[in-house]
Amino acid sequence: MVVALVIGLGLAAAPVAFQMFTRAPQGGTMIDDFQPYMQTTKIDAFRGYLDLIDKANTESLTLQQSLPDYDTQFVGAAGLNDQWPTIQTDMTDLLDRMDRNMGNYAAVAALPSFDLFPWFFVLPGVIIAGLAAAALVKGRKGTRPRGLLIALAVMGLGVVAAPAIFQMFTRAPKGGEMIDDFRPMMTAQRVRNVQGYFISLGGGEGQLRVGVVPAYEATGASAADHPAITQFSAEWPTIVGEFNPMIATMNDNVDNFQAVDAMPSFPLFPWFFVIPGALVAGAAAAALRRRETPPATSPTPEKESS
Amino acid sequence: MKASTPIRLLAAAAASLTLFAACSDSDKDTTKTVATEAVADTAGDAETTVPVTDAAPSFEGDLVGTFALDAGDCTAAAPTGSYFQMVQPGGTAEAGPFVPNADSACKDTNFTLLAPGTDGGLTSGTAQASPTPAFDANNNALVAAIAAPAKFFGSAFGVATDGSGPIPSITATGGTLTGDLSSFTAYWGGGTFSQGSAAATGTIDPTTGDYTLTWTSLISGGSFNGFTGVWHLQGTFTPKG
Repeated sequence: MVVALVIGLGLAAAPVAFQMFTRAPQGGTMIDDFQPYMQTTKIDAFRGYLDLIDKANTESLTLQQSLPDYDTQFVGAAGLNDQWPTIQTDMTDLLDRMDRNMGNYAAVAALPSFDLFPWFFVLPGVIIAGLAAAALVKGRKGTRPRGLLIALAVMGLGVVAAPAIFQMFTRAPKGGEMIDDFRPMMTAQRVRNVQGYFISLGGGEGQLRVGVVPAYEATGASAADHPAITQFSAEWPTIVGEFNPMIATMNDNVDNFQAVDAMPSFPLFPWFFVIPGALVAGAAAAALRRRETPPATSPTPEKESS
Repeated sequence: MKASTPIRLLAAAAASLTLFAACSDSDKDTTKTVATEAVADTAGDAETTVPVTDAAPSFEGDLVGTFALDAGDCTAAAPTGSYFQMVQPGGTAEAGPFVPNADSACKDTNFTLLAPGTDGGLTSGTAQASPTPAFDANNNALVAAIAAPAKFFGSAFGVATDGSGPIPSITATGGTLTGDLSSFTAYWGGGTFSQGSAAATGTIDPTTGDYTLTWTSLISGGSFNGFTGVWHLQGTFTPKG
């Protein structure tokens, strides 16, 4: 029963050791915050915006050739032209990561609330430790702790079964995959880069609208020949409204992500239940068996012992 | 006792004449003579006059009222009136680098000009909250009490004093302004950005109420995390009531 007592105390103490009481809720916050973006329709909308900007950029390159001093007179538009390949590659990478983790996100979101995670260790740990301690005390008093041992065995089996009940064997590794895939994008530097893209896009759009297009039309040409630029400007306020909260979500969850990343690897989580649960159940079963099989060499009937 | 009544009447008449004469001079300068006692027991002490300084405007202490905005203007080399700038992360309010705003009316697009809103400007002692909804369907801010919505990066932004923090308070001390504008909030692109400061500073002409107020506000969190707003309000203060 000493084994069960130690395991129980270890389970109860694990959340403190891994700082789960602070880190797990941070993970929950991150999962909640990303919920609006981990949807196919949203990702498709963002891809649509990138496609539109790409077309507008391509059209603006033709204007660049039509307007003398384009690069010096319209620095914002020229800056967008220069930086667009980088922006497109990086933003597409972000969307790809979110897109391919849609299933992983759903699996993690379907897990019990992250806020409860520490208690999944603490509660069974305390119960196991309590039962084991009671069995030890009872045994020392010479009373047969059969009921307590059975309860311990059931508790151990319950802990073993918990990961299966919550489908942790499939969901936790998916969470691990998502964490691994999000790691390159959930950094302060990456967020700063995206903020910079936003300035380039906004500066470029504004200058195309108020500078480049009027200058082009002043040559007698028609902006109707460049519909993507017109559409880019028309949709820019909507794009701002969409990108703004997404960048905010990324920025505000960098710390949350790092907290989750600092916890033990997700795929290991089921085993944090199975192994201690099996040990407790095994120890309880062994103790039960010992007590139900009197030693053959015993000269007198066995009295209760621990 | 009956014999003294005519003397008292004469004294009262003399005092009234003196008062009339004094009042007729009052609009020549800022000094008034005020009769403090029109009726005296004797002709010798029939009146007492006290010179006082006229209540010229003097803006000192806690100022409660409207800090009306002068519209920003870029005609001169340096902008005048009220305006806003946004410093990029790592920059400074003095040297930038700033976020250029293609929608700026200035040649130097680092400046975004502000014009008075429906309340004429910023009120101290009273919060100026945003309407609901705060944005139109195109994410343009509808917040317009302090300053008219101004276009920044393709979307109109507005300001209100409805964020976390106390009701705006501004104090004048010998022509210097200090203020707590912590609740100053910018509405842009469908989101809100705390742009307040508990350390707004400026100057005020104690007689005319002409003022300047400036402050900077580092954005912490959200899509513009690390950027700093630089606010410069200028105009004339009018006390409440």
